[in-house]
Amino acid sequence: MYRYTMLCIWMLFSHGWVSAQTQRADSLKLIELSEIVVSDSSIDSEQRRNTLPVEVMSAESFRKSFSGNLPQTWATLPGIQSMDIGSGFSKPVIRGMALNRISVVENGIKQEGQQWGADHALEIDPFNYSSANIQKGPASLLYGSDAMAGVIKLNPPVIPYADQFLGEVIWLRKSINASLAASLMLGIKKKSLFSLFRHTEQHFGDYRVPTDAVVYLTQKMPLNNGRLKNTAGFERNSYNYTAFGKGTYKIESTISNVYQKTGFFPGAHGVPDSARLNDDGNKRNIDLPFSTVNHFKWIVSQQKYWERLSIYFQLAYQNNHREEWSTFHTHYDSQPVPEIDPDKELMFHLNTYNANLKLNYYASSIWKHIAGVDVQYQHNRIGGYSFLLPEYQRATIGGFYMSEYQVTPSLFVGGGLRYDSGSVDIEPSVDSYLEAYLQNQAYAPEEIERNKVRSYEVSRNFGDVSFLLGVVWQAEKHLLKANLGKSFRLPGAHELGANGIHHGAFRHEQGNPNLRSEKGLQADISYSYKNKNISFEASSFFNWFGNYIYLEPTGEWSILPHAGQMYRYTETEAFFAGGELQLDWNFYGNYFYHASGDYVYTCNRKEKTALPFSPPLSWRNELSWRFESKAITIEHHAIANQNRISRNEAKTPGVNLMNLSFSFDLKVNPNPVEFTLSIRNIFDTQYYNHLSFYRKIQMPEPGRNFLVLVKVPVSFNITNKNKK
Amino acid sequence: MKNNIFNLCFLSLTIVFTACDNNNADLNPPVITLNDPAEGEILTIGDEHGVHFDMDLEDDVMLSSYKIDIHWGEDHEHHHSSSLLRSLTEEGTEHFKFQESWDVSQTRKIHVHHHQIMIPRNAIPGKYHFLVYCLDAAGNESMLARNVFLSNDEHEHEHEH
Repeated sequence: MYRYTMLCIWMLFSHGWVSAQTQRADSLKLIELSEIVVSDSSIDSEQRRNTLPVEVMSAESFRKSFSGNLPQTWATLPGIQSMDIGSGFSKPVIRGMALNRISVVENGIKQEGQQWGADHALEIDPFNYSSANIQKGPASLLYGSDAMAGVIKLNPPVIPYADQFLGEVIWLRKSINASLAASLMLGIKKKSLFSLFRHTEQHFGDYRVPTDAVVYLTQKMPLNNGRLKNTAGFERNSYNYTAFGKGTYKIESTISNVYQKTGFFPGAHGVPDSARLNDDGNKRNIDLPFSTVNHFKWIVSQQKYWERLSIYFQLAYQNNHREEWSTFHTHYDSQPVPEIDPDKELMFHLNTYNANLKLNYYASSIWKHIAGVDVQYQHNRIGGYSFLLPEYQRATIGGFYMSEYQVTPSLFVGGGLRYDSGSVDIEPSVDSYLEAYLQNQAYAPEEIERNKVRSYEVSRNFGDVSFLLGVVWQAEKHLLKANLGKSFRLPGAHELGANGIHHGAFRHEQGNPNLRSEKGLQADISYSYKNKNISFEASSFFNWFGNYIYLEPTGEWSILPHAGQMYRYTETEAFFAGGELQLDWNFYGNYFYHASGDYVYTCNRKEKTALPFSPPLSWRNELSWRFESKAITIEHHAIANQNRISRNEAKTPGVNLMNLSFSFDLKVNPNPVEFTLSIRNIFDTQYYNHLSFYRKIQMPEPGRNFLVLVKVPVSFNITNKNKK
Repeated sequence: MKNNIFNLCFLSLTIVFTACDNNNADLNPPVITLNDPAEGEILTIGDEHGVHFDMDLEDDVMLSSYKIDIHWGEDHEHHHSSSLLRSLTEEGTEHFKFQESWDVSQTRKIHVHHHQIMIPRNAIPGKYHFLVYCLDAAGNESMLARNVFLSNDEHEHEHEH
């Protein structure tokens, strides 16, 4: 409620302020075509001026493969995978790395939620999409800690040229979980002001899977009508983007609030018990256990241009509030039922403040210098009757310099250096109920003393250098890129100080306060060829980590009830190697063939096994017919067996999937109505996703799914006389 | 020149992609065959002979240890307040809890049979979770879960579950 009030107050305030500004301002139009128009040529120029391999997903290709979920849609690009967490939510994976090893950046600010959790979704409105650039490779240089495997940059909305009112209604229906989503956008462009509002609602019912039972901990759990009970949920998102420009000055504000509530499949919570899976006769209710998350974000960006210099300054505030609810249960007799919110098991309340300053200096038309400073402060508060993650404060400051030099018309060199300094302070926590339990169970005093502490007071400082050096060589139809970089990541608070049973993981996870910051040396090379009918791209990478942080099974029994062996965050030497291939071929008239594939080989050098969640070899063949706005696409997606597993992970058999999609525009004056129909997993094939959080309970992936996406854009020019 | 680069790439890729595949790495978890107690079995509170526990453990390389964890299992679907209040009000009774591990190292296969789980007279009757975990020498873990019922009367078979 508070956040909504703040949102309203801000909107009133900003509008009063902006209109005051516009009255004084002249009517200079703000045109930055190089940034706002996503066309082939701008994609090409992005490719030529970015030494890292970049995938660009435009709104058009996003629409074609949209599944109602951002990471799954991006996963159609080579080198990108999605980590599914049930209920239709997912997390993005770049070249086999996810969680705190990649960054999702919206309008220049890194999304900060509880992204360390493999079952926590990305809190961004999937309908609020204009385009995204996905950089594969070490991106710490520009984006700081965490962006070691890459960064997903979500671009702000396209500002129309003409003064106009604009609007859009998007409607999505999915059969798999009876999902119904609607998104309404309204905007205005008047002289130097542009403002856009969006509201999205998405409601979905229990998920349908092509099986009538799941086997969990050797017990067969029946499913009613193939539906996963209590996986229903809803999403409610609001967004405002406002930009105002005067001369060479521009200010942008982005406010968003994303709320998600989803039920957890009760069969996967704790000990399997088919009694909990009895049909409740309602496939839309959200019963216990469930999770809620609210992500509020406000970004204010200011830019000022001079002849050779531009300054970019950003301030941002984010609040991520996550709760996991499950009927109060405890293994400790002395623990009373909490008086307020008795069923609130876990709560994380994370506040993040950012300030970024970036200077671009154009020494000449071929030489550009970029320097910047990023400051971030976070504090995390906790609640609930269970303990998983401690309270902490974390502050980081980083400074970087990079240079881009066009040596010859065909050779471009870019590189730079960054230093980051960070501190993490973890609050101590002692569990008196656990202490009483251990006393009651007659444990030795020293064992009680050691185990009653849920988190130790930790105060750590980290400092790290990252760099990137890359070249782009271009000769007519050929483009070659090579990079060498070093990236780093501060250990997350969960890696330093977690101590408890993560409800979704059923295992005792313990942090290690002595971890060093994770460092990676990364090299990649990519080649692409493009002519009128064919474009081809191949890339390969090698990432080496001297101290990759992972959850190691210790072989020691946990002292906590309802836990097997202890898993402790440990460092290991590790590497990731792999590559991607991509081919687009207009082989005849309006017929197109697209193929893409990726593979990642992971290696934990200590254990001599793969790392957890290693993506299997995947290959997509796509045949399409396109004419004007009409397109028919049939896609074959082959996923190979994943037999390279980490300890206590199951092998996953491969699968062949078929998808079909039609899209066409219906000419309704003045704007066309866009229709997209698709059928995913046409043959209702039962399969598993090796990267799914629910893989370990043998929960299959969605069966046949019909999607209908309708988009009705409208725009009315305000002063038609001057325009066109 | 191009050929040399290609060969070099190919060679390094071959080295990289085989560097980690130690065919001897044991990733297979041990197999737990719990013969007794069975799913839904009623265990008698205060039974002097202890719980009849019978299990077979097997691993392809080497076993390490196993652990039994028994705890109150009704909270998940009953009103927490009622079951908890009962435990607090009925004087002298408490939820039965059992956590113990046994060493079974130096062997690949073992038949386990014992009566070491004693349910004290003050245990609260009701549904309990009976979990068996087993680790092999390499750290691979298996887990098996059963629901059992604790009862004061051996012949009481009526449960609403």
